Amino acid sequence: MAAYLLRRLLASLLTLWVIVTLTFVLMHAIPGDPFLTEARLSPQAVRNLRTYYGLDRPLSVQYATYVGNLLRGDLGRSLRSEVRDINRIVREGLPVSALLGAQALLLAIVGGVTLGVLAALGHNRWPDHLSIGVAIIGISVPSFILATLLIDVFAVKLAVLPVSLWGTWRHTVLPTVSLALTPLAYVARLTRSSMLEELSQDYVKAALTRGLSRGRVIVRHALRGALLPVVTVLGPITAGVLAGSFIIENIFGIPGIGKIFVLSISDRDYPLILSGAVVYSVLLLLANLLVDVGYTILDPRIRIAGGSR
Amino acid sequence: MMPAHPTEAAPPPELFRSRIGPAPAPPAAPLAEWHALRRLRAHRLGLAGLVMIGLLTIMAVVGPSLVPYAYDEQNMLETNEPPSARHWFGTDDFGRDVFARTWVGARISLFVGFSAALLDLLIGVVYGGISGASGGSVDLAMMRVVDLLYGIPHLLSTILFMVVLGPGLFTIIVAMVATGWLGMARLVRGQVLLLKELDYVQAAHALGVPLSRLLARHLIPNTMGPILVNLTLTIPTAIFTEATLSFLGLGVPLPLASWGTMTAEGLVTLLTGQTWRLFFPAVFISLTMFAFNAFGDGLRDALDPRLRR
Repeated sequence: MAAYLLRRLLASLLTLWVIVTLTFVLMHAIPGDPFLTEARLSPQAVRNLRTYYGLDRPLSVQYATYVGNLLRGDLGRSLRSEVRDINRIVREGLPVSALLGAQALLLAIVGGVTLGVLAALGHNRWPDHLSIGVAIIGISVPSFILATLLIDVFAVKLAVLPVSLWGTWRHTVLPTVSLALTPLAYVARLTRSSMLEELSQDYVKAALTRGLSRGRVIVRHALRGALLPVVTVLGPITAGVLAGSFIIENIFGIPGIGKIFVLSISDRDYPLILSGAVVYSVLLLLANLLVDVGYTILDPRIRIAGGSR
Repeated sequence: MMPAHPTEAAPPPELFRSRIGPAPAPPAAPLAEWHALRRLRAHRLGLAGLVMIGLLTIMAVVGPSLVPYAYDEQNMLETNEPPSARHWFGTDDFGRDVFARTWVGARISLFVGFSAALLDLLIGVVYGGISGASGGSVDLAMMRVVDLLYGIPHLLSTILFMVVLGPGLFTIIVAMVATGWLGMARLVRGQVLLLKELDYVQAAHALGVPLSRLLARHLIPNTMGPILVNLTLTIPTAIFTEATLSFLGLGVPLPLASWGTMTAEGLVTLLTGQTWRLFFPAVFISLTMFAFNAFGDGLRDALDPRLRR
């Protein structure tokens, strides 16, 4: 298992390197110069700026410097943002995004599993219809539309929650719900079908005939088996939440890295765009690695086989 | 005079193709095909999805010409008018007809969805087909490349490509396909590997049928089932991505009317009250997402009854 994890770790690092390199190449493939748009700068000032940011050196040198800095944990300097040190920008924005993301993930998983289990237990009765309804809404309604709807109802009409910005827990409610609904719907749908499958297995019937209580069988045995497929989608779900945070943070004006990243794109702030890509990729690869570890722990079959993926 | 068994003369690949491919002329359809069709018909949600896709497509084609206004025609005397007999969906802050804009938005969404999905399919089938059919070190190398790229977050790479390529309808499609084909390539390869072991394929191979013919005549047609499902489910993802990008201002340029840009422009109406500007694009994008997802699910259930739940 250690060898398997090591292999996964190496693969993740390789993917990260590909992302860093591709992003670097893409950013430098853009025609034009980030400073040429500023008409007020004298040619000397532009030259100085280019030297300051190292843009006058050959691409290979810039690439080597960039990767070297990354390895030392230095994300570089932003071209436009008020705070120039990107490390500081990430340090300030990441906790905000992490809190929002973690809350959304937690809500999606706990809510989704609960809804899915209830639906499976009440198959073809109202809990089932409720969960299907939530799943349909969650999969059909894009998060930015849901966010708008929630703002309209809870912030504008009922005025019980703040419209936007960040600060107290009350500010986190609407963004968390908007971010969580789509993954929640997927988790609920998946839990429901895998729970139905587990409940129809012979071992469940056997356990019940031997007189084990229904609740115990469901929680201790069926649920454990049913959760395995849910664990496998945690990676994609985390990716979805990360991507969703780009939009949600923008709608609610939350000072996280998602908002900064989108802003850096419209600003053409290349070092910041690069850093955004790196930070998001690291987060995602880390999440996928954790999911793999979790899966090997949960499923003994994989532990023995040494991992087939 | 009809022969006693109309399907008997058909060669095996035809029979397999028609089992999972699109419907051939009814009299010649083998039994299995009818099962899939009947199951799809029994899947009410999937059927509703198909009908909605049809209606949306028709409206995307004829919708804009049902009203005497162009989607970008401004009329400063009739700004922000509520829905009426003159303007069925009202007008926006430039006096543009929301009905015309909504259906131009439908055109963009459907165009982006279908073209991205078809391009994914094309690249994925060729790449995955070659990889799976070749096997050995070619397969290994080709799949390593896919694995590496697969770790890149989809929305992230799409955004980065948009930054480089500049805003526009075609660049959105290119940006999405840049990493979108990977999933399809994996799926096709898996399917080909599965089929390669089948006796009739082995027999054809032993008889000296060249690889290209094997791919075109046997392997690819027989993998159509899951591929069709994947294709149907790629469309809403592409539509969602386009709307998200346009919502963030990274998508189609103004004055083109995308559902994403219309929603973004409509955000302020939460406070100013002309909510019809938000309502129509929001409702139709949700309906479109629902239709494709429901149809894709129905198709999956119809083609693979084991997954039915």
